[in-house]
Amino acid sequence: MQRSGTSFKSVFLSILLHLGAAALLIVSIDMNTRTLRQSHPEVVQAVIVDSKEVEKELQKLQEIDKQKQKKQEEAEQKLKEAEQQLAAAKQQRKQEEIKVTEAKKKQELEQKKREEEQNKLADIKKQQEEVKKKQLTEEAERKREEQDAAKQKQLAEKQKADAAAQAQLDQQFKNNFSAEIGRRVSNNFNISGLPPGLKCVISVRLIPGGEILNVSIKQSSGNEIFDNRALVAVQKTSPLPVPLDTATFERLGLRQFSFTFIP
Amino acid sequence: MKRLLLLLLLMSHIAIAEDALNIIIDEGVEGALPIAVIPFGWNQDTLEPVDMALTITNDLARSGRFVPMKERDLPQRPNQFDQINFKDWRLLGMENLVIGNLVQTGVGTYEVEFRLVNTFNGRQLAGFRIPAPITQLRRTAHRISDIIFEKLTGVRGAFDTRIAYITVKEMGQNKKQYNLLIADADGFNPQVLLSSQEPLLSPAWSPDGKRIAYVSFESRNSAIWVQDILTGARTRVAGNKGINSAPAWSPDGTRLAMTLSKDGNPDIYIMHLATHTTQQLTFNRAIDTEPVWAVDGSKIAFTSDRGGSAQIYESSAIGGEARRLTFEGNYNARPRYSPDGKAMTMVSSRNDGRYRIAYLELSSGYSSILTNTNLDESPSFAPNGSMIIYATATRTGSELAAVSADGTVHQRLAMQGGEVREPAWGPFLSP
Repeated sequence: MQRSGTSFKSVFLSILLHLGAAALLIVSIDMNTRTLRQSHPEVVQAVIVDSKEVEKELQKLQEIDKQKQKKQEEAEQKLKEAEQQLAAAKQQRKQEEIKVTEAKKKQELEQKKREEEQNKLADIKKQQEEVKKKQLTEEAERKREEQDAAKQKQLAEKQKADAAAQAQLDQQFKNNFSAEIGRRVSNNFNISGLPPGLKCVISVRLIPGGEILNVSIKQSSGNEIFDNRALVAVQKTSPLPVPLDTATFERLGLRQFSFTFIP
Repeated sequence: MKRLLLLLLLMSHIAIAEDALNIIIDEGVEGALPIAVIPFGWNQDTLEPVDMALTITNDLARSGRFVPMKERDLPQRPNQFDQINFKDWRLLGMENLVIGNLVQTGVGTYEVEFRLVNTFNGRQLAGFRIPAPITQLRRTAHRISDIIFEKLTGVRGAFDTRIAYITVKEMGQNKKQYNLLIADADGFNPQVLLSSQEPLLSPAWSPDGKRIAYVSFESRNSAIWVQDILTGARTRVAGNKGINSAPAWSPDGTRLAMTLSKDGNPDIYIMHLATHTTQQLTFNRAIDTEPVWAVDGSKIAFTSDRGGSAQIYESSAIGGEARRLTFEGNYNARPRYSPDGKAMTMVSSRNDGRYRIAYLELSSGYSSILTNTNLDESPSFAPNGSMIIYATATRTGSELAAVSADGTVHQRLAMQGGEVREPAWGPFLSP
């Protein structure tokens, strides 16, 4: 009842609203908030008239109201429908949007995922490459080291072989010189009348060239004559036949050595 | 790299250092030792009474153990130690040098000073100052020879010893003079102990060198006598019927082994000098003769023809079975033990008509001929075993000769002419 005075306005408003809604639907503007407001009916001071009249009027009014209400209801229904449609559309749109978004999201996600995977792959690849590179470097390094080691080893072996050859040569040298020295000393070692079973060790110091610097009894036989004969045998042989080359002389350790007399 | 090389060098050096070179001398040479005896200094203008250096040189040479340097080869003639130019001697390989001086200290009194020096180490091996009257100068020289010999060979020298021997002189009218003599080992200073117109044989020294036993035919038959060298006192110890020959002293000087035929057959007997009692050692029907005592007195060796030819046998000194020692040649006789008892010298013939001096090694039974003559007799060892003196036939008679025990050095002893026989080398003069 309170609304009767304002029904026109309401209808108008309703139409406007409907139009707006349609427009809204048509333009399909994305709106996050609804701007529609509920219209409040104005308060009217009532004047009592003839009851019949009133009743008639009332009935008329009521009828009007009913129509109005019906219309309103229809409008409202329409609005509602529109709203529903709108909402549905909205919903649909929203769903579509969601769908799109989701799809987009999904796409993005997938993209991201792909990218990630790609990145990952790239990383792996990179890593692999790095590993490979590293391996290659290491390999190269290792190879170089191996080569170096081989070279080193070869060199060492060569040196070793050289040293061994030298040692063998030296040993041979030594044997030869020892034999010759021994032969000469033996020839100067007079054993006439010496008792058997005696032994003495004589230490001798030489200078390069074989000249005897000093001889001494390292281990006496206990027989002075035996010791003296041995000493003389060595001294008489001076200069001992040693290598003339000083380096060889030193290497063979001929500066100091000993004789064991055990005839 | 350098470090490695250094290490290698170091290692090789260590290897050498650890395996220090040691040369084994497991053989030597047998031979006479070189020695130079410098003519001794002499403090007078007159001729020196004895050539000390020459006497020593001859002694050493005769032993066969030394080759003295010839006087004309001496590079210098030092008489004092500080005059020795060691380098010169070393260059000549002459390790042993004898220097000395003969000094007249008074009328007929002298002093002999000598040094034996090793030229390689400059050490004096011996050095003595010996006072001596003129009559003892030669003997002093022999004593010096003995000292040198012992210092360089380790064996006691036997130069200061004497020999006994027999000489035979033709006196004309079919007469001969037999002499028993003693002399220095080098043949100098002969002294006649006994002269006889009848044969004198087989002189034998008592172990103490104070008496000599011999065989004399002065009573027409053979007899064994013992004579004191210093006093000339003599005793006939065996004058039995038949043969009385080949006396040999026991090592303790209390007994004589000898050959007697008083019981019919020449056999070996042992006589106790204190009682002149005899005891028969061999009973063989063959001829047993020329006995000799082993050094330890436990055995007696002798010559016997019991096997068909003259060979040497050995039996215990108290009798018993005799063992044949010689198997080489058709004749082995007149045995003499070496002073160390390990060998024997004898006259040996190897089916060639030559009778030579042989050396028999008792452990192996191996014998070797030492001489290259035709008719040798009476070998006798020097008391140190280094030499053997013997008599050998010459065109005009016979003379004394010596050979080193190894047969390397032969020497004839300077003796007056005629016939010189049966040398016997005396014992060491001092204990």
